[in-house]
Amino acid sequence: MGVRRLVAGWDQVAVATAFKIVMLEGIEVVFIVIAIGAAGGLLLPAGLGAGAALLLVVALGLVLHRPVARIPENQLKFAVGVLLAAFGTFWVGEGIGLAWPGGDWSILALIAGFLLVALLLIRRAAGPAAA
Amino acid sequence: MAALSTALRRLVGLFVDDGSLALAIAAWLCLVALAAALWPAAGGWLAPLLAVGLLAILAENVLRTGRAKR
Repeated sequence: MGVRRLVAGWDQVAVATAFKIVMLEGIEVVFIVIAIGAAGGLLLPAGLGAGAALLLVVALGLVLHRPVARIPENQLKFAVGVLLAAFGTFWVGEGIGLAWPGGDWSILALIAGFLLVALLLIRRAAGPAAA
Repeated sequence: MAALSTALRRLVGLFVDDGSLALAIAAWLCLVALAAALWPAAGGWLAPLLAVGLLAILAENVLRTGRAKR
């Protein structure tokens, strides 16, 4: 009864959405920590690093939630999507054992590449009416 | 049982939004990994090739989805 009143008093969609997103990111963190920790007894340092990052993100969320809430949702999703695609491409390439030209600096090129292609696709998908 | 399968479907849905996109990406990654294993000397250009392939897969998926929705 008490739990039902608590959930009923909150926006259930917001709760469910935030829960799914945080769970997804949390699973990624666990995999990363385990992957790094498995390489020679580094589980504790990797775990401490993840814990420190969690505290920092919570603090940033408390400080920045009002200005970030003013950014249009689609633009925020678009920017995050471009960054995730670029970083993901870089890391999977390293995981396969490939050498990126310019090392870590190639991440900038990947961000530019994904951004350019995404903007072109938006323009194409919007059609001639939006041109 | 139905609740479990729904929960599993939702969990998979968190990671995979479009099955065809996920399969194409996985196939491309396997091809590039195979190429890297078979031709180690090719190392320098395989990484950019990986990126170009992923961009092409993304573009094809977006354009196909856009056509399907019209």
